[in-house]
Amino acid sequence: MVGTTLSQELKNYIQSMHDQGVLDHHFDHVKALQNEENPQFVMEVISMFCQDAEIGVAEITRFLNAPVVDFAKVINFVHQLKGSSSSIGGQRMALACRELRQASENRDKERCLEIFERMKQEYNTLRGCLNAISQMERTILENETRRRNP
Amino acid sequence: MVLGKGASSSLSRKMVDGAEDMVSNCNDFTVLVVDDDPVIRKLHDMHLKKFGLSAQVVENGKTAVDLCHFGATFNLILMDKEMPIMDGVEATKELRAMGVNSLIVGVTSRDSQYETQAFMEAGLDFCFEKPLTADKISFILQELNKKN
Repeated sequence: MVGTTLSQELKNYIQSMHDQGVLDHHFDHVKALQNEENPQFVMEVISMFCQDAEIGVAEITRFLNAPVVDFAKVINFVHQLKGSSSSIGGQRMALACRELRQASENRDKERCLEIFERMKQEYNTLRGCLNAISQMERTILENETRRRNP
Repeated sequence: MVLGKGASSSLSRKMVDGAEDMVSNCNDFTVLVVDDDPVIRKLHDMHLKKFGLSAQVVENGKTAVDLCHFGATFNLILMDKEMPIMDGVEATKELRAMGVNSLIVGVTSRDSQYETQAFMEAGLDFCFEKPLTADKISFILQELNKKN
Protein backbone atom coordinates (compact mmCIF):
# COMPACT_ATOMS: atom_id res chain seq x y z
CA MET A 1 0.00 0.00 0.00
CA VAL A 2 1.27 3.47 -0.81
CA GLY A 3 0.51 4.74 2.71
CA THR A 4 2.57 2.03 4.36
CA THR A 5 5.49 2.67 2.04
CA LEU A 6 5.34 6.37 2.80
CA SER A 7 5.22 5.68 6.53
CA GLN A 8 8.32 3.56 6.23
CA GLU A 9 9.96 6.22 4.09
CA LEU A 10 9.16 8.79 6.78
CA LYS A 11 10.63 6.54 9.48
CA ASN A 12 13.78 6.04 7.41
CA TYR A 13 14.07 9.76 6.78
CA ILE A 14 13.71 10.63 10.47
CA GLN A 15 16.32 7.98 11.31
CA SER A 16 18.74 9.46 8.80
CA MET A 17 18.20 12.91 10.34
CA HIS A 18 19.01 11.35 13.72
CA ASP A 19 22.14 9.77 12.26
CA GLN A 20 23.26 13.12 10.87
CA GLY A 21 22.60 14.85 14.17
CA VAL A 22 19.99 17.19 12.72
CA LEU A 23 17.27 15.74 14.97
CA ASP A 24 17.48 14.26 18.46
CA HIS A 25 15.13 12.24 20.64
CA HIS A 26 12.99 15.29 21.45
CA PHE A 27 11.53 15.07 17.95
CA ASP A 28 10.47 11.50 18.69
CA HIS A 29 8.66 12.80 21.79
CA VAL A 30 6.81 15.32 19.62
CA LYS A 31 5.89 12.60 17.13
CA ALA A 32 4.70 10.36 19.96
CA LEU A 33 2.18 13.03 20.97
CA GLN A 34 0.39 12.70 17.62
CA ASN A 35 -2.62 10.43 17.65
CA GLU A 36 -5.91 9.82 15.84
CA GLU A 37 -7.56 12.70 17.65
CA ASN A 38 -4.74 15.04 16.60
CA PRO A 39 -3.41 13.61 13.33
CA GLN A 40 -1.94 16.95 12.26
CA PHE A 41 -0.10 17.66 15.50
CA VAL A 42 3.40 17.23 14.07
CA MET A 43 2.58 19.43 11.08
CA GLU A 44 1.11 22.08 13.37
CA VAL A 45 4.14 22.12 15.65
CA ILE A 46 6.51 22.30 12.68
CA SER A 47 4.53 25.14 11.14
CA MET A 48 4.47 27.02 14.44
CA PHE A 49 8.17 26.50 15.00
CA CYS A 50 9.14 27.68 11.51
CA GLN A 51 6.89 30.72 11.71
CA ASP A 52 8.38 31.81 15.03
CA ALA A 53 11.91 30.97 13.95
CA GLU A 54 11.61 33.18 10.85
CA ILE A 55 10.62 36.09 13.05
CA GLY A 56 13.40 35.31 15.54
CA VAL A 57 16.08 35.13 12.85
CA ALA A 58 14.84 38.38 11.25
CA GLU A 59 14.89 40.18 14.59
CA ILE A 60 18.35 38.92 15.52
CA THR A 61 19.59 40.05 12.10
CA ARG A 62 18.13 43.49 12.70
CA PHE A 63 19.60 43.91 16.16
CA LEU A 64 23.04 42.51 15.32
CA ASN A 65 23.34 44.78 12.30
CA ALA A 66 22.36 47.90 14.20
CA PRO A 67 25.13 50.50 14.74
CA VAL A 68 24.78 49.92 18.49
CA VAL A 69 23.84 46.34 19.28
CA ASP A 70 21.10 45.84 21.86
CA PHE A 71 22.50 42.58 23.25
CA ALA A 72 19.61 42.21 25.69
CA LYS A 73 17.17 42.03 22.79
CA VAL A 74 19.44 39.60 20.93
CA ILE A 75 19.60 37.37 24.02
CA ASN A 76 15.84 37.44 24.31
CA PHE A 77 15.29 36.17 20.77
CA VAL A 78 18.17 33.70 20.91
CA HIS A 79 16.74 32.30 24.12
CA GLN A 80 13.39 31.73 22.45
CA LEU A 81 14.98 30.08 19.43
CA LYS A 82 17.07 27.85 21.66
CA GLY A 83 14.02 26.73 23.61
CA SER A 84 11.83 25.99 20.64
CA SER A 85 14.55 24.38 18.51
CA SER A 86 15.54 22.18 21.43
CA SER A 87 11.94 21.17 22.09
CA ILE A 88 11.33 20.19 18.48
CA GLY A 89 14.54 18.14 18.44
CA GLY A 90 16.80 20.46 16.46
CA GLN A 91 19.88 19.75 18.55
CA ARG A 92 22.47 21.33 16.25
CA MET A 93 20.49 24.52 15.95
CA ALA A 94 19.92 24.57 19.72
CA LEU A 95 23.66 24.16 20.28
CA ALA A 96 24.42 27.06 17.95
CA CYS A 97 21.85 29.15 19.82
CA ARG A 98 23.57 28.34 23.11
CA GLU A 99 26.90 29.55 21.72
CA LEU A 100 25.28 32.65 20.29
CA ARG A 101 23.76 33.43 23.64
CA GLN A 102 27.16 33.12 25.28
CA ALA A 103 28.70 35.47 22.74
CA SER A 104 25.83 37.92 23.29
CA GLU A 105 26.34 37.83 27.05
CA ASN A 106 30.02 38.60 26.39
CA ARG A 107 28.87 41.49 24.17
CA ASP A 108 31.20 40.24 21.42
CA LYS A 109 29.59 41.49 18.22
CA GLU A 110 32.10 39.89 15.87
CA ARG A 111 31.75 36.50 17.49
CA CYS A 112 27.96 36.90 17.51
CA LEU A 113 27.91 37.54 13.78
CA GLU A 114 30.15 34.54 13.14
CA ILE A 115 28.03 32.18 15.23
CA PHE A 116 24.81 33.67 13.89
CA GLU A 117 25.84 32.64 10.36
CA ARG A 118 26.36 29.10 11.57
CA MET A 119 23.07 29.19 13.44
CA LYS A 120 21.26 30.29 10.29
CA GLN A 121 22.82 27.41 8.37
CA GLU A 122 21.67 24.97 11.03
CA TYR A 123 18.22 26.52 10.96
CA ASN A 124 18.05 26.18 7.16
CA THR A 125 19.05 22.52 7.43
CA LEU A 126 16.52 21.91 10.20
CA ARG A 127 13.77 23.76 8.38
CA GLY A 128 14.39 21.71 5.23
CA CYS A 129 14.24 18.53 7.24
CA LEU A 130 11.07 19.52 9.09
CA ASN A 131 9.37 20.66 5.89
CA ALA A 132 10.15 17.30 4.29
CA ILE A 133 8.68 15.53 7.32
CA SER A 134 5.64 17.77 7.25
CA GLN A 135 5.06 17.04 3.57
CA MET A 136 5.30 13.31 4.12
CA GLU A 137 2.95 13.52 7.10
CA ARG A 138 0.46 15.46 4.98
CA THR A 139 0.58 12.92 2.17
CA ILE A 140 0.17 10.01 4.58
CA LEU A 141 -2.82 11.73 6.16
CA GLU A 142 -4.39 12.47 2.78
CA ASN A 143 -3.92 8.86 1.69
CA GLU A 144 -5.43 7.62 4.92
CA THR A 145 -8.41 9.95 4.53
CA ARG A 146 -8.94 8.75 0.97
CA ARG A 147 -8.70 5.15 2.10
CA ARG A 148 -11.37 5.68 4.75
CA ASN A 149 -13.63 7.69 2.44
CA PRO A 150 -13.40 6.03 -0.96
CA MET B 1 17.95 16.76 35.53
CA VAL B 2 15.37 17.37 38.21
CA LEU B 3 15.68 19.31 41.40
CA GLY B 4 13.08 18.91 44.04
CA LYS B 5 12.37 19.51 47.65
CA GLY B 6 13.14 16.04 49.02
CA ALA B 7 12.80 14.49 45.56
CA SER B 8 11.61 10.95 46.08
CA SER B 9 12.88 7.79 44.51
CA SER B 10 9.68 7.62 42.49
CA LEU B 11 11.66 8.79 39.48
CA SER B 12 13.18 5.35 39.18
CA ARG B 13 9.79 3.63 39.25
CA LYS B 14 8.27 2.47 35.98
CA MET B 15 5.48 4.83 34.99
CA VAL B 16 3.29 2.20 33.35
CA ASP B 17 2.03 0.62 36.58
CA GLY B 18 -0.84 2.58 37.98
CA ALA B 19 -0.95 4.89 34.99
CA GLU B 20 -4.68 4.34 34.57
CA ASP B 21 -5.31 5.24 38.21
CA MET B 22 -3.17 8.30 37.77
CA VAL B 23 -5.19 9.41 34.77
CA SER B 24 -8.52 8.81 36.48
CA ASN B 25 -7.34 10.76 39.51
CA CYS B 26 -6.03 13.55 37.32
CA ASN B 27 -9.23 14.54 35.60
CA ASP B 28 -10.13 16.99 38.37
CA PHE B 29 -6.73 18.66 38.51
CA THR B 30 -6.43 22.17 37.18
CA VAL B 31 -3.23 23.15 35.43
CA LEU B 32 -1.71 26.45 34.39
CA VAL B 33 1.08 26.54 31.80
CA VAL B 34 3.14 29.75 31.94
CA ASP B 35 5.51 30.12 28.99
CA ASP B 36 6.24 32.80 26.41
CA ASP B 37 7.14 30.26 23.71
CA PRO B 38 4.06 29.12 21.75
CA VAL B 39 5.79 25.90 20.65
CA ILE B 40 6.46 24.95 24.28
CA ARG B 41 2.92 25.89 25.30
CA LYS B 42 1.52 23.65 22.56
CA LEU B 43 3.79 20.74 23.48
CA HIS B 44 3.07 20.96 27.19
CA ASP B 45 -0.64 21.31 26.55
CA MET B 46 -0.60 18.18 24.41
CA HIS B 47 1.48 16.24 26.95
CA LEU B 48 -1.05 17.09 29.63
CA LYS B 49 -3.98 16.13 27.37
CA LYS B 50 -2.48 12.66 27.08
CA PHE B 51 -2.90 12.38 30.84
CA GLY B 52 -6.48 13.56 30.66
CA LEU B 53 -5.70 17.11 31.73
CA SER B 54 -6.55 20.32 29.99
CA ALA B 55 -4.47 23.35 30.83
CA GLN B 56 -4.96 27.05 30.84
CA VAL B 57 -2.00 28.66 29.08
CA VAL B 58 -0.60 32.14 29.58
CA GLU B 59 2.40 33.94 28.14
CA ASN B 60 4.13 35.50 31.11
CA GLY B 61 4.44 35.54 34.86
CA LYS B 62 2.38 38.67 35.37
CA THR B 63 -0.68 37.13 33.72
CA ALA B 64 -0.27 34.07 35.94
CA VAL B 65 -0.05 36.23 39.06
CA ASP B 66 -3.06 38.30 37.98
CA LEU B 67 -5.12 35.17 37.39
CA CYS B 68 -4.41 33.90 40.88
CA HIS B 69 -4.88 37.34 42.38
CA PHE B 70 -8.39 37.42 40.92
CA GLY B 71 -9.29 34.09 42.43
CA ALA B 72 -8.23 31.41 39.94
CA THR B 73 -6.80 28.33 41.62
CA PHE B 74 -4.65 25.64 40.10
CA ASN B 75 -3.40 22.33 41.43
CA LEU B 76 -0.34 22.53 39.17
CA ILE B 77 1.54 25.44 37.64
CA LEU B 78 4.23 24.79 35.03
CA MET B 79 6.39 27.90 35.16
CA ASP B 80 8.95 28.89 32.56
CA LYS B 81 11.91 30.82 33.94
CA GLU B 82 12.68 33.45 31.35
CA MET B 83 9.70 35.43 30.16
CA PRO B 84 9.06 39.07 29.29
CA ILE B 85 7.18 41.44 31.61
CA MET B 86 7.57 39.16 34.66
CA ASP B 87 9.88 36.17 34.71
CA GLY B 88 9.31 32.84 36.42
CA VAL B 89 11.42 33.63 39.48
CA GLU B 90 9.49 36.81 40.22
CA ALA B 91 6.14 35.23 39.46
CA THR B 92 6.86 32.27 41.73
CA LYS B 93 7.90 34.58 44.60
CA GLU B 94 4.73 36.62 44.18
CA LEU B 95 2.49 33.56 44.02
CA ARG B 96 4.00 32.13 47.21
CA ALA B 97 3.75 35.50 48.92
CA MET B 98 0.05 35.53 48.00
CA GLY B 99 -0.35 32.17 49.72
CA VAL B 100 -0.70 30.12 46.54
CA ASN B 101 0.09 26.54 47.53
CA SER B 102 -0.21 24.93 44.10
CA LEU B 103 2.47 22.50 43.05
CA ILE B 104 4.73 24.87 41.09
CA VAL B 105 7.16 23.18 38.72
CA GLY B 106 9.82 25.27 37.06
CA VAL B 107 10.73 24.55 33.46
CA THR B 108 13.92 26.06 32.20
CA SER B 109 16.30 25.86 29.29
CA ARG B 110 19.08 27.41 31.29
CA ASP B 111 22.07 25.15 31.97
CA SER B 112 23.43 27.02 34.96
CA GLN B 113 22.99 25.09 38.24
CA TYR B 114 23.28 28.35 40.13
CA GLU B 115 20.36 29.91 38.28
CA THR B 116 18.28 26.76 38.63
CA GLN B 117 18.94 26.84 42.38
CA ALA B 118 17.85 30.48 42.52
CA PHE B 119 14.64 29.51 40.72
CA MET B 120 14.05 26.71 43.25
CA GLU B 121 14.60 29.12 46.12
CA ALA B 122 11.88 31.39 44.75
CA GLY B 123 9.41 28.72 45.87
CA LEU B 124 9.31 25.92 43.33
CA ASP B 125 8.51 22.37 44.28
CA PHE B 126 10.53 20.95 41.40
CA CYS B 127 12.52 22.18 38.45
CA PHE B 128 13.04 20.43 35.13
CA GLU B 129 14.96 21.23 31.99
CA LYS B 130 12.91 21.81 28.88
CA PRO B 131 11.21 20.22 27.23
CA LEU B 132 8.96 18.24 29.51
CA THR B 133 8.55 14.63 28.49
CA ALA B 134 5.93 12.02 29.34
CA ASP B 135 8.19 10.60 32.08
CA LYS B 136 8.65 13.98 33.73
CA ILE B 137 4.93 14.69 33.60
CA SER B 138 4.22 11.25 35.07
CA PHE B 139 6.55 12.09 37.94
CA ILE B 140 4.90 15.47 38.46
CA LEU B 141 1.43 13.93 38.50
CA GLN B 142 2.52 11.30 40.99
CA GLU B 143 3.72 14.12 43.26
CA LEU B 144 0.44 15.94 42.66
CA ASN B 145 -1.53 12.87 43.68
CA LYS B 146 0.51 12.61 46.88
CA LYS B 147 -0.07 16.29 47.64
CA ASN B 148 -3.80 15.98 47.11
